[in-house]
Amino acid sequence: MSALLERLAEARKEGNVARLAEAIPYARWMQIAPENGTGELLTRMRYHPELIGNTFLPAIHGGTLGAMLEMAAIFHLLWETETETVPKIVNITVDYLRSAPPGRRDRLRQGDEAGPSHGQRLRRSLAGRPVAPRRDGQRPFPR
Amino acid sequence: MDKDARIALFQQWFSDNIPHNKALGLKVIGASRGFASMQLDWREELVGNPETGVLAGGPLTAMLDGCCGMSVATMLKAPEPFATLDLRIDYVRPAEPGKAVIAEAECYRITRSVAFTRAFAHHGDAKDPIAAAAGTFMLGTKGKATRPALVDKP
Repeated sequence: MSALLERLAEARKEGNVARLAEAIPYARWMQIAPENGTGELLTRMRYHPELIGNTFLPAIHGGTLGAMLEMAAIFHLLWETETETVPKIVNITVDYLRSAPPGRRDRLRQGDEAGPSHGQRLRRSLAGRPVAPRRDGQRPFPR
Repeated sequence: MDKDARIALFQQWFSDNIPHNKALGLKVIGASRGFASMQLDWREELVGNPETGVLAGGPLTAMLDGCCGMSVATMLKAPEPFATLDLRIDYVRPAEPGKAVIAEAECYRITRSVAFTRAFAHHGDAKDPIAAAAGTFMLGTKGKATRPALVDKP
């Protein structure tokens, strides 16, 4: 069993989704981690100064918000499906509705089950829907 | 302004002065009117799949956003603030572990309020892309201009 599979198995057994982030170097570096304390899967990106993309406004780098949406979708699939490897993203579309001021609140991202792939920033949090179509073209993952 | 001076100017504005780009270690390797190119070196912290060593999508997303934005800046006659409106990325194939990724972006249309860009990421051969991106930017947004205008045509 690979290290990743072991980590996945442990996280599922403990019911502690946060352990998934420990297995992914980029998630650790970015401080992006899932949490399920409220009963639904949320992905949080902790604020740190290296997220800044505009020092004048200031605002968080748009690329980091896209990265966080991607990681939220990956965590959702790792947690809700039986996948044995890190899912590969085919594509992502991000609509930027306004700038994200830093340091006031962490970015939150809720995984949802279906619908068009989009991210929408609301107040200081971020909500969106990942969708991963199944090979047979039936209902989207996760279900 | 000669090629090296342009690259040095954009390196300063698009990597050294942007904390996230600096943290990624983005290097500006090309800058001319309507065109921007950057390089991202592979490193362990940026890996998204620990079993294969393949980079996560996130670093490519941030690089393509930055590179598309820089291609817009090269078109401006005077410094002007602008912001990403939307960005779509197709991940065509995985980046190869250990290899640097190069992004090349083009601003192919600019109006008074919107700039349209496209970009590819690859390992040195643009005909064999890792990712393709399309981004639009809104010009004249609030705040100070954070990016320089290219003062002369190359």
